[in-house]
Amino acid sequence: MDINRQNFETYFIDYLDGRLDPGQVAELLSFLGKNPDLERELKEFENIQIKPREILFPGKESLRKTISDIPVINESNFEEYCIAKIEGDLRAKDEVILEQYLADFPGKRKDFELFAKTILQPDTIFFKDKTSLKKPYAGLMIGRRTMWAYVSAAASIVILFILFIGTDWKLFQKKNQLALSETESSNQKTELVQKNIVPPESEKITEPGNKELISNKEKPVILKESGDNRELSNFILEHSQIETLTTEKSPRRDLIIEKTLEKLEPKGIIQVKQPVLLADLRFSREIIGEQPDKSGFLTIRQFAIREFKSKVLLEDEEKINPDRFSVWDMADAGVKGVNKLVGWNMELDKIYDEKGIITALAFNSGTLAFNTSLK
Amino acid sequence: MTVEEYNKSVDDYSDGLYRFVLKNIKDKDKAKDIIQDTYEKLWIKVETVMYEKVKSYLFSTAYHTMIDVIRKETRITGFDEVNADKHSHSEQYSDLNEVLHEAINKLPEVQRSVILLRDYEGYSYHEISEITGLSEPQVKVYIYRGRIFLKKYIGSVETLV
Repeated sequence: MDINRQNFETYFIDYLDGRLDPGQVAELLSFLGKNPDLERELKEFENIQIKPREILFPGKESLRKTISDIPVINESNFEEYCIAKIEGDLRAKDEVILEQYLADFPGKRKDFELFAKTILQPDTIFFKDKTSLKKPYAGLMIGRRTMWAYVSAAASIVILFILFIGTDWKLFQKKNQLALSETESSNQKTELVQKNIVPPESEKITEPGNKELISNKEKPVILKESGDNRELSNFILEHSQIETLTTEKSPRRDLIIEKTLEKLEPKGIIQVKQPVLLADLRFSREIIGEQPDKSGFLTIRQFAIREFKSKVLLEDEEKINPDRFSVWDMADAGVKGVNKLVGWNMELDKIYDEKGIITALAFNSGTLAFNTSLK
Repeated sequence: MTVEEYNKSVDDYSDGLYRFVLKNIKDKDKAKDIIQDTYEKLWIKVETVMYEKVKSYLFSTAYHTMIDVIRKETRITGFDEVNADKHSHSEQYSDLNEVLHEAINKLPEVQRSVILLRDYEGYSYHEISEITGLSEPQVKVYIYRGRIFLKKYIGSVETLV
């Protein structure tokens, strides 16, 4: 920007403050040479300068303090200093000041000593039951049910071994069908012998809602199986007692067996030469031939079953049937025991077809799952 | 934290924890239950709690469990029964420590806890704030108020004696 008569004052002020660069100074001097009146005005500017006067405050001495006058410790903050001292929070110079204060005011030392006495000394109290808090190095949880858990684990291994490896499933299937006396068991070569000829349709067992009674009159039925030397003889059925058996829509074949056993009154000797289906085995009174105890007391076996279901299966004691204990109960307990021990979530289930026949066993551990077909 | 470290924490800290809790609630059975509960909680988190932090975790867990128990009992017993003898004194004292522990029982629960953590376990203000969930200034204030009360209590007892 060039200097002219409208902006020269700004240049003058910057020149006097020394803020113009050499080029601008040369330009300013050239401008002043062309405008002598303004050169005189600039000299007048240079003469205007305020010199500072030396003015002193007369009361300095009255404001001065000595070290003893500094209010570091006083009545209001003395306790705070004492507590800071016993807590170890005081800096070294503050400790010196506190000691000086206590020396100056001996009456305060007793208060300080009382603060020093408030530091608690621990009692000789020990926790004696440390072993109950400790854990085994294997990481297993030790609890009240440890024994049951170990027993369950051992049982589960045995049951799983039996169920998956050591069982003749085909034999079970055939026995199962034999026990149900189904007419469609022709593929197993079962021969139905009837003393008084019974029409095939009369043997169809009705559903509960149908109430279709068997038309044949109270004729005993003898089941014979031609193969495997298996035979059910002298097994007399009271047809009038068979009212609610189902053949097609029942979801659980083992329930059918139970109902059948409840409804039937054996009039002869039951001879089962081969094991009944293991997976559906019930150690019931009827099968093992134990007579009911009419005294009202539990037998040793009933007591054991009740304790097992209560302690291991965690069943409601009021709902426990001490007369019934299946292999599946044991397997269930075993799986629960292993789950408790190792923290898994294994499941073992039976898989039925639409006719209620067990077709497979399913095992699922969360990370590993597989089915084992029984056919 | 390994099982070995967990068991070492039982050896190292269960006495101090028990002492701390017992001094606060003055009931041995409840103190044992709180210690059991505290270590069960630690066992559940044994894989996530670092051994270097286990002492702080234990005291923090025990403290909060204990506070829950105290507050629950306070609701049951009623407000009037709490600290009813706050300024009363026993007739006989065997030594200063006995007087002091009688005095500590009369402190409000938070002041008592922070002073016990400070004196028994030697925790810093910062560590106490982590355990109790209080801020450091709050911890200092509670310790200050507790000390003032203890000092006055001791002084009055000494005057009586």
